[in-house]
Amino acid sequence: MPEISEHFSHLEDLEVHELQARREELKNSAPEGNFENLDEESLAELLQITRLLRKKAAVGKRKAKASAVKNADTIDDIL
Amino acid sequence: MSPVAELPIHIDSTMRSCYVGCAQKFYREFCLGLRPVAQSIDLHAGGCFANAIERVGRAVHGAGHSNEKALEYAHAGFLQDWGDFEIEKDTPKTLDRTWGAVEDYFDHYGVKTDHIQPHLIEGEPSYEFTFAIPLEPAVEPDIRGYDARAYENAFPSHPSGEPFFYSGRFDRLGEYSTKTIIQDEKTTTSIGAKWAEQWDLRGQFLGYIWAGQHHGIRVDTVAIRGVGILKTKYTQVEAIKTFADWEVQRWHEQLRRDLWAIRRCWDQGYFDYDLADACNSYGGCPFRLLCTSRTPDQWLDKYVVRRWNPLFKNPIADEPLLAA
Repeated sequence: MPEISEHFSHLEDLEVHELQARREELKNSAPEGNFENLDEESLAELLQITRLLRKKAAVGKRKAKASAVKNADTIDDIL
Repeated sequence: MSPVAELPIHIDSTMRSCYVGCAQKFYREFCLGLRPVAQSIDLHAGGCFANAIERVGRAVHGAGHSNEKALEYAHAGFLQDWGDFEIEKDTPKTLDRTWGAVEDYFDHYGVKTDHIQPHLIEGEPSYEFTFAIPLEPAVEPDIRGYDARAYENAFPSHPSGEPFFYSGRFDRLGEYSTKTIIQDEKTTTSIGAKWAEQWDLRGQFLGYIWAGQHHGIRVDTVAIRGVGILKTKYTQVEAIKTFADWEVQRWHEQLRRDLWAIRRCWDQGYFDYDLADACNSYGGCPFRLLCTSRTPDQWLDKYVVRRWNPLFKNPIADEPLLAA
C-alpha cells in the first residue's frame, strides 16, 4: 500500500467519517462538477484520502480479527 | 406497459454467449432490454477499473506525466465514473477497494516497466479499440429456410434489410516480445488455480482477433490480466493466449450459424428456453421470476429497460462514461 505523503500527514489524524466528509467537500468544490477540473493540490489530496481510507479499513479488520482471537474460548473455559 | 421488442443489429460476444446459453434470456435481455432494477456492481466496478487503467496509461505514455501524477488524474476520473453508485449486496468491490486494485495493478506490473508496453499509433498509446464490422455477404431467408448450411458462407441480414454488425471494444493493443497483441483486464472476486484455462476457447477473444485482423492489424495473441479484488488482498495474474487461424475461422462460422438461428427465432416469434444449467449459473438467471410465472407480464415492474450497446464503454449506460 502506498505511503501517505508527508505533505498530507495531517489527514492521518482524521477519523474515517471525517475523511469521507473531506472527500465529499473536495468533490463538491469541483468546477462544473467535474472532478478532473480540480487544481493539482486538491487532486493530490483526494488520492491521499482514498489511500488513507483503505489503510484505516485494513487496520480495522486486523484489529477485529485480533479481538476475535483474543476473546475466543480457551481450553480452560471449555473444560 | 410491455417493453418493445427490437432485434439488435449490433451483436457482440456477450450477446452471442447469452443466446447459446438460453435463447429466451437473450430475447429478454437484449431484444426487450430488460434488466433487474439493481445495477450490477461487477459491471460498474469493472468499467471504472478499466477506465482508470487507461487514464494512467495515457497520462504516462501519452502526456509524459509521472506515475504519481497520473494516478492523481486517474483517481479523479475514477471518482467521477463511480458517482453515487449504491451497492446492494455484500461485495469487496467497494469504491475504495476497487481503486486499491488500480494501484495494486501498477505496483505489480509497473507502468514504464510493464513487460507489455502500449502499441503506439502516431505516437499515442492505442487504447479503447472499438469495432463494428458488417457481417457480409448478408441475405434474406428464403425458401431454403434458416439452415446456415444452405446459404454457403452468407450471413442472414437483419430484419431491417441491413447486415448484422459484429461489434465490441477491447481495452488496448500492446507490444509483447516484438508482437502486437490485444490486452484485456478482468476484475473478479476470486481467481482459482484453473483461471487461465477458461480462456482457451473464449469466443470473446477469438472475436477480438478477427476484428483486429479485419482492420489490418497482424494479431493472433491476447494477454488477459485477472485482477482479484478480495476483502483483504488483491491477486494479479496473467494469461497469454495465441489463437490459430483455424480457430478464428471456426469461431466465424459458428457466429454465422448462431445468427441464422437467432434470425429464425425472431421471424418465428419464439426464443427457446434452456430449462437447464443456464437457469442456475452465475447465481441464478435474473429472469427466473418471469420464467417461473404463467403470467410473466405482471412481474415486469421488477425490471427496467436499459438496452445493451456494445459500442459504449459502459454498455448499459444511457450515455458513455466520461472519457479521460
